[in-house]
Amino acid sequence: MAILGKCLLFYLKYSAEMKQLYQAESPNLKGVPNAKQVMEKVQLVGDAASREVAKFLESCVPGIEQHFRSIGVIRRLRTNLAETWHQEFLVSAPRTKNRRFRVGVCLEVDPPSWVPYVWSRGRRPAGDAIIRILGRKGEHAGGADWTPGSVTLPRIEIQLDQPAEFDALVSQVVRAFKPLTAARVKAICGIYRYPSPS
Amino acid sequence: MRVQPTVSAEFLADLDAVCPKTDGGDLPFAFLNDLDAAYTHAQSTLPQEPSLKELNSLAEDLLAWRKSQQRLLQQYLAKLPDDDPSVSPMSLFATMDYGRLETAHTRALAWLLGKNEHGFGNQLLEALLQHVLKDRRIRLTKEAKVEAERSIPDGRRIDILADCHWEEQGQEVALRLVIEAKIDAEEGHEQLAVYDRWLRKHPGAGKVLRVFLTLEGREPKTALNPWQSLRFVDLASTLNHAASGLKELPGYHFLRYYLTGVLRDVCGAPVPIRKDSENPYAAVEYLGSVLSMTEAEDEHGHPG
Repeated sequence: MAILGKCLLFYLKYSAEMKQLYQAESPNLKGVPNAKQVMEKVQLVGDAASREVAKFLESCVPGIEQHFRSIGVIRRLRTNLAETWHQEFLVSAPRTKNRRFRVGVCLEVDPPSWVPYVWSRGRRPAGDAIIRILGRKGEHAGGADWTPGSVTLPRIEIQLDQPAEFDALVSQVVRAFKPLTAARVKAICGIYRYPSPS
Repeated sequence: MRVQPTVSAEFLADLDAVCPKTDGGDLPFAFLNDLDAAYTHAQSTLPQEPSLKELNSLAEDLLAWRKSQQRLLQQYLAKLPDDDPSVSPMSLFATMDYGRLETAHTRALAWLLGKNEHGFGNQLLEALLQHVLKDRRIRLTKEAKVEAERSIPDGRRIDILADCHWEEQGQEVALRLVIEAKIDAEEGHEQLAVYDRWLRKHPGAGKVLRVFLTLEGREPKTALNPWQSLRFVDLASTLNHAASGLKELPGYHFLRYYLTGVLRDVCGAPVPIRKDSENPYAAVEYLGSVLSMTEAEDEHGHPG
């Protein structure tokens, strides 16, 4: 049984410290014991955790693509997953090229969870419409890191006190998008109309 | 125990094609040497993984750091009153899921700055002017008219507009304060330029003070005239400091919840801050800057 990588689990357990020391552009080392050695290890753990995040997200891609291909059109937006820690896709209903929205998966550290989400242009009213279309199976994504119009689907929590099975988590992430049926994809596409290419 | 690698039949067939076995059935010595060199090189370029020992030692250091920061946090919290907005669990607009709704914030701010049912008179406006204008002692001599969402031509609306009057060295000073706030949105096309053109024609009774209120105190991109940048956290700190003299007035708790919302929902501060917080770092940084600002304002004789 494959489980989530040990460095990612370490990162999630000490996310407050790793955020300060690994993610910050110029970390404030005031009060950090053995600062030089700590920073070397933090770099090592942070890099390894990033690779483990990328591996997980990569594993979610086929299932998500398969679901949306069966009901519409999906295009993966390629980024360096080890840097972004999230994977996004453009989704549209068949024959609606200038009407599309985004779905994605990201990792949140507090509480530790994989977060599947849907986003449409149109800011908060678009988020309201997505929640309505999904039959209240989502909520506005709050906080400065989220673009208005983002709606999170039920989060998949990562238990830190027991081995987190890799494949089971991937399946849960893929399953989280099942409520996006063909009819709902079409309805979400209708929220915002992109200008036709001239 | 040495682990035997499992390789596919397809790989073995390909290997046989590129490197036929010797008569004795073994792979050629030169090929095995090359394979060994390639393996050694590949291992040296593989990303490093920390050992369990390294993870345990790092965990110990991080926990020690967390404890030292928690101690510092407790020292900071001891300096705050019990009803400080940064320790309050309630945010005014989050209860309505409007924590980052710009119009909710600007309308509430305009209401707080003006003379309304809260009973503050224009004291918060005075505190804000004193913060923005620095080293001036401002006591308004006339009730300031504060408007939210002031309509101007082109279908635009200025977030907050206030006409203020006070005396300085025996002279009456008139000032039109204009505040444009941005939480998530960027400026609209030529947005501040439109405001600037309108303000040139409608400057009020004296000078115009333009304030651009954002999370990070960024410079505006579309302005024709100079706009003074103001961070939401500095606005909150200024109003909070002035609030200490308003505790008995009807609007005091409304103001507290508003400020909690600004800190938590707009600035992303870890509010409510608790002394046993598992993430004391952002709280220590935030409280450290707020307390140092408060001390600096006290030295300059801030109202309130």
